[in-house]
Amino acid sequence: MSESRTVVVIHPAAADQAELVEAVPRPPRLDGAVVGLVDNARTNSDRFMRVVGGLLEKAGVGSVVSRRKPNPSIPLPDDAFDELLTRCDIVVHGVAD
Amino acid sequence: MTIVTEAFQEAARLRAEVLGMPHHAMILVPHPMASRPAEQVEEVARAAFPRILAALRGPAPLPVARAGPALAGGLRASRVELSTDLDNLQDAFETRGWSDGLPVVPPTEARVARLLEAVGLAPSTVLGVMPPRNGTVTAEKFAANAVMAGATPLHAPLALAAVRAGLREEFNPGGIGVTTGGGAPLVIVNGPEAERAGVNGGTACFGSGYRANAAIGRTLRLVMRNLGGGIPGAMKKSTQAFPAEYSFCTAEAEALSPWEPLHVELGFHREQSTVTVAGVRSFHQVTDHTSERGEQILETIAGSMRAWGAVSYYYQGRGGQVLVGLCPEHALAIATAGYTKEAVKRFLFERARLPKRELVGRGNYGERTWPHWIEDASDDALIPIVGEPRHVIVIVAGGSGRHSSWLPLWSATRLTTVLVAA
Repeated sequence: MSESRTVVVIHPAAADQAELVEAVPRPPRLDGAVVGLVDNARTNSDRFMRVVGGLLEKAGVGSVVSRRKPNPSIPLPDDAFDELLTRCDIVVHGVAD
Repeated sequence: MTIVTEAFQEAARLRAEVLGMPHHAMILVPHPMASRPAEQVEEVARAAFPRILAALRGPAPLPVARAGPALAGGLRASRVELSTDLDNLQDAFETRGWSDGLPVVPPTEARVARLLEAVGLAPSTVLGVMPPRNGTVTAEKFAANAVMAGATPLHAPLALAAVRAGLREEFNPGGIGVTTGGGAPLVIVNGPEAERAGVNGGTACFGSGYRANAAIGRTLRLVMRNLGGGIPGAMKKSTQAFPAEYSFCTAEAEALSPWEPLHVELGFHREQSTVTVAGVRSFHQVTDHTSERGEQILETIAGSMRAWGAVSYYYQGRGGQVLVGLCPEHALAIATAGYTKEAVKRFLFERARLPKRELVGRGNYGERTWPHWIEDASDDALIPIVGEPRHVIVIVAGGSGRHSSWLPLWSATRLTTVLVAA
């Protein structure tokens, strides 16, 4: 019967596993912390992040650094990314349509 | 920390995992966001804020333990034993998520070895990493997918060049494989290799009927799926997509073209062979059986390109491109009327325009990347479909008849050309 016969094939799909990345510790307190906000350039993403930024400032964060991706399907440019890394204690971004 | 709408939760989770952060903090909000009235967007943001604040204040989530090396088994692919029963065999590929829905040819050791021999590559040769899944594309993985796509050793050099082009950053494979707007790579083969491998650029050039076209186009798509993770319901979020995703490949009908072929225009020699990939959004056919003069045909094509909802109009600041596939009869009439290829590009740039008022407040207006002159222009100003004439790409392809086409490229991709290894 054919059921008992087998064929060996080359695994065609990805077997990669990313190395785990540990998140940096949260700032000990939000008072005075610098929070980065990245909107993904989709319609309304800037509006959403503006509200979040305003509420963060009311909640006592030190400052908010806002950046916008050049296009929803293009990553943030390296210089903007580096700036957020340097200046911010924590960064919030969005994935949405 | 990531704020994500419900519809994108799974895609975001998978992407976080690929980046080594399966523990990443995410705040879920209702979908959609882009089409929601402004005051509702603000309401959703306010409602989500306590959870955002709590996540910012809370401890950072810790990575969970994971067993196994980064690339299990190193650069050599593992072997999988499957039933040879024909019905079960296809089921086995489907179950593992390795098929685009059509039957595949089993990538046996012998078949894969023959393709590797045809391209002269060792199995563990790394061609690149295919985003967004970030699978390592080794020559062996390429060959396995090429076999599955139906490629023979004859097709292998062109299929390999298509994958090499598809891995290039300017093609943006991580975006085009999964974008909501959908997009498929059109593979264009130029030079003598097209004929040698049997790639059709004549009758039904964009359609079905030729194994070389089917296998070469499908190889790239299967690599984007199996190594790039472009799988619907997972990372792939294309709202509708289009059937060219199964396979989309043509040769240019160089012998029938009145102009230099694409690869010569791009600086290659005519006797060299190239593979170009264009990440296209859709296919618009333009019939003109009536116009006698070349200029009238160009007017018909430009008229077809004056299309509402075509995203190209909104993305000129990012160098968005449009591909025009002229059938040989149209091309000949246009050339007879005195048009060089450059003049065709200029004509379409000048005539494929919409009044600004027809673009404002609809389409992709909310995400436009317009230069200042358009932002400042009056409502009556005519806005071109691309930012510059050179962003109109012209090829000649097809059989007898008077049907041409235009294909808008996706906003975040660029035409990418690779020389086929001799």
